Amino acid sequence: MEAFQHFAIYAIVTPLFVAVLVPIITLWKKNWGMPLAGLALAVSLILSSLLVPHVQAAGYLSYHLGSWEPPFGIEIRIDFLGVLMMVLVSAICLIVAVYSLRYIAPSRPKGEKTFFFSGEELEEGKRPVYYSLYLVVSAAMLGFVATGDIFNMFVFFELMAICSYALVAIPGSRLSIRAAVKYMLMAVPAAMLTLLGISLLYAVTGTLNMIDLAGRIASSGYAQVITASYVLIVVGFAVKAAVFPLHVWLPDAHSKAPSPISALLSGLIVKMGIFGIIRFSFSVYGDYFTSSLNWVGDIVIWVAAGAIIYGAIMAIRQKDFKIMIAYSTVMNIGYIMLGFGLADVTALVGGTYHIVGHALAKACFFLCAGSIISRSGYRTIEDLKGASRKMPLTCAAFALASLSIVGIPPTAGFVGKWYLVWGSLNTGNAFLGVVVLVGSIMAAVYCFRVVYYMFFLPPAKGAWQEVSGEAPVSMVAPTWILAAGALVLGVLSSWILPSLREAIESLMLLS
Amino acid sequence: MNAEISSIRPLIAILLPGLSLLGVLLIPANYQGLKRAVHVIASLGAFGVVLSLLPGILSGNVYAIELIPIVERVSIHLTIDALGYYYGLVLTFLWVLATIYSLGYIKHKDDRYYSFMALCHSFLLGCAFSQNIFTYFIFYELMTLATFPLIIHEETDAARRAGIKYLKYAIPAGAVILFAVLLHYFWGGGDLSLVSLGILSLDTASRTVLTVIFLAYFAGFGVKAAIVPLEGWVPDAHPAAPAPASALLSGIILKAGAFAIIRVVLYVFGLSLFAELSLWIPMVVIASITIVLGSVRALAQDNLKRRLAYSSVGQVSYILLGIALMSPYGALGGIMHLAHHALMKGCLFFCSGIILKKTGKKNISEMAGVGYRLPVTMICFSVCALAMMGTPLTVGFISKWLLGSGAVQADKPFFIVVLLVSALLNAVYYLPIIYTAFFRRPEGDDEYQALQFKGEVSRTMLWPAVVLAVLVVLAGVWVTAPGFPHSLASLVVAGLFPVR
Amino acid sequence: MWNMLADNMNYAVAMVLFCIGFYTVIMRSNLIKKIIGLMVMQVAVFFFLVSVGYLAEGTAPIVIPGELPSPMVNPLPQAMILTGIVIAVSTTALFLSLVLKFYSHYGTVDMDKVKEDQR
Repeated sequence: MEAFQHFAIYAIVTPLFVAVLVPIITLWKKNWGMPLAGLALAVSLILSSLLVPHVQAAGYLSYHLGSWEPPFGIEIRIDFLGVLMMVLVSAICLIVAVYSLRYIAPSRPKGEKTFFFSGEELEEGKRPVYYSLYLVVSAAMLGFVATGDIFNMFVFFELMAICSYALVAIPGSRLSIRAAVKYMLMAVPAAMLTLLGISLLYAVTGTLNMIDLAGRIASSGYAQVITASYVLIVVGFAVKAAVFPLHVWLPDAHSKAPSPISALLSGLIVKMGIFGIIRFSFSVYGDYFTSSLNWVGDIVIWVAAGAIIYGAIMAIRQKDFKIMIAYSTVMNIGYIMLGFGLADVTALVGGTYHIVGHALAKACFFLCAGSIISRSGYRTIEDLKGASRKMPLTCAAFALASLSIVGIPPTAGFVGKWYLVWGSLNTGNAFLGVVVLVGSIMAAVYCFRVVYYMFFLPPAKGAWQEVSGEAPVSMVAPTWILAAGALVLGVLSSWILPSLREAIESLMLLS
Repeated sequence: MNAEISSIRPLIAILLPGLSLLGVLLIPANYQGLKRAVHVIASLGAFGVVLSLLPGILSGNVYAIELIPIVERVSIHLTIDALGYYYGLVLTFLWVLATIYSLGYIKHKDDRYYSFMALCHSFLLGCAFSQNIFTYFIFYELMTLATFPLIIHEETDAARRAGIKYLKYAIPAGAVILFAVLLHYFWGGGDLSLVSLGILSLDTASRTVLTVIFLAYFAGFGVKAAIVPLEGWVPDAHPAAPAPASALLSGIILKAGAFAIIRVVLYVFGLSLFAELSLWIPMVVIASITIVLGSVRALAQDNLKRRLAYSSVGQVSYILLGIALMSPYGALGGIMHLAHHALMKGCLFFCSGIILKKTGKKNISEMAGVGYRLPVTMICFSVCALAMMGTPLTVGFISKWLLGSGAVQADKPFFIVVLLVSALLNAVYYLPIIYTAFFRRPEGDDEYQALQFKGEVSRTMLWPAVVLAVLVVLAGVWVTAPGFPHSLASLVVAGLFPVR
Repeated sequence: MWNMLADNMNYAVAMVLFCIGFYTVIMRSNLIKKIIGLMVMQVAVFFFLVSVGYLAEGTAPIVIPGELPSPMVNPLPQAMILTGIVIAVSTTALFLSLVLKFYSHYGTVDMDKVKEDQR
């Protein structure tokens, strides 16, 4: 086997391995938590990026764990969508890890009198645990998108979920514990639903390998069981993906978690739920999905439209900055699900491109919110008036990312929305195209309101006096990299779009 | 002759102001003079680059450059054909004057003002030089956002409200335009070109769809082009913005909407399709209503800039009327009015700014005797006001004459009535200003004392106004000079109407 | 119909157990009871999985060298549930520790008695 064939498994295993090392090494060298995490994630990023040309050339990459042949062994199967997600996950995890350095362990410059505790800083003892959990979450996400075995997928999904519950609760404060409990109360039963679905699927097909399953489902006689298993699996993933009526846990969990974790949750973890739905619908159920389950698409479309409108309205109504951003996530999940439900290649290309674009922009949003909270303790939107005077770089990054969320060309958000509307026109649902654009207008209301407060209004009396200046470089640079990424992926979308379209086409035309 | 030349000059022209922004960011805060110089030089440079293309354009060349694709099959594609060049030339010229004027006018928050001026300049040049409506849309949206800080620059309550009102109109308009672009893309076979004739056709799309596309474009761009009933933001934004920004708003930015409508009607739809779908009817009706309504409402305003703003509302619709008449003279008149109005209204706003700065007066009723205090300014104002009314030997007359001829040529003489009514109303609201300035004595002795000749404003504010006033007359007399509106507009029209 | 139920007894029992657990999670306000409900759900699924691999005359799935292979129960579900049990145990442990912290903050484990904080 050539070297590159092993890259995938190394990309997954390295963070996992380092996660075990971190608590041990930090006993000896206290400050090595973040550098180790950053190093592990950088390795994953490099390996994933190196995989991209290979996957583009061959269409997919297959790796047999332990050299056991599928369908008996666990297979890692990466198509272009998978490798794109791997690169996205490792990149964002790396950037947010760098951000975490100063966030959970802020150091005050000399002479600054007042401390503003964001309530999310961690004592020294907890920091290695944070990085450990962080690395496990990253590894789990990487494994989740790479694997070709449904139970393996479930295991990684649960791994990711458990660590995310812990990371939401890690500050240990009243609000974060409550948010974590609420999150677990919805997500764990959902995981059980998914597991039940997987069990049912296994029961009637006898295999766990995705490719094998696709064949057996097509020729299976147990239509009702298969449909039932599909519904269970999708509902389970949908809770994790915070699709409209099942999103209730999201505003609390994302706003009360420490900001880098919020960024990870909104930016990546909910996308994993959607990725799971897409992977299951097309790679596993394939033909069966397109032939017998197209009523699913019809339901999803309206659910998604509801998510867009509901998320936007709730975001506009919020007074707390992070809760507003959380509802914005609900809205954008609606967009991605719309891409899925329209059952059209163009729409799904739009949806998946939106996954990428939104991950970057939303992570940037949460990191900016975190910078502001960490420096000033201000959590409400009203308090953001005049923020740009003291924290210009952070506010500028926010403004740039908001262009992507609203969908102003030439950002990545615009490209996603263009394809979504195009897809709705393709399938004759012009009304949904209108919904997408109305959503853009509403997003402009809540995003530009914040930008307006930050840049064009003077601060309230006495506010912002005690903030000495911008956040440290290790916090500002990540926000700028993410915001610039959202812009670059809009302008240079031609790097990704052709391969993405091919991947989606082969995914959907698996029949 | 008639060659399509691949050239990087469109890109350079667009980037120059943007790059000046970078230069300004890098210069430390103490060197204000240097920063301003960079801006002035950049705007002169852009004008120079555009001017250098004049001979080529006049001989029929088209300059194009294709950049990266943003979505499949559609890329950022720049091209300078006669129409785009025309708009670009007017735009860069006015921008040079406005930048110089701003040196004397803007006294606080300069950096933000000049930065966004430069950004707007870049984006508008991008609009002018767009080959397809997708590129146009990108630059248009960015320009919309970049205009906001200019409107709320003074940061008074009124300015803030005006800015927010502007966004409330402009952002939904952007969504409507995007919808139109997508429909256009879908039913136009993926070709979004703005410079080839007749992209849409009844072969590929139904009447309903085409009508919807047109109405969406018209409404979306019409917000910027201040058609009734979407013009509500204009009368608030103009008085709130500082005078040079108001001049650019009226002179160039409103025209961005009109320019887009020109492109959509004449190129995307093409005259024959447009006539066949009878879409000229709603366009002509709305344009006429706007012309009359704008003029009527201008009468009621005492605030000088508000009156000028309503006047702009009416005047931009002259352009739309000219296009909707679908005759060669009509189109010629409409297109030429784009530049003519920019020159005239630009000068008027510059003068209003001078008056505000020197005497602090905003309302016409307070401006008695201003003509003696600021003689050169008021002479320029008067020249341009007379031009707006359509006095012969000025560009205003040329526009109105051509529009009237266009109406006759298109067998729709009714619109001459619209033009006459509007001209009459123009007179009714412009003449009193001139009268008040020169022939009324102010009440009270202090005021009368203040009338004694105190000297004009600084040169940087005066010269741009004078230059514009001179041009208004010059281009009205020496109409067919190369580089003046007629030479370029006639090229455009010649390409559209094969048999004159 | 009853025949089908009898033939697929494992499905039926598992579903019933699952629903009991799900009901408990939703309807009981006491956090500890919710966790118990979760555990019941988990048990239901694991039970179901193992039963899928059952073979009436099967023996333990161990290959003894030299002997003929006889029908064995399917070891794959057993491997799956082992993994599943690990996941379930860790989730439960985490949840219980969260409930402990919850108790230390709010003084109760009853969700109904806890009002929404103002923030």
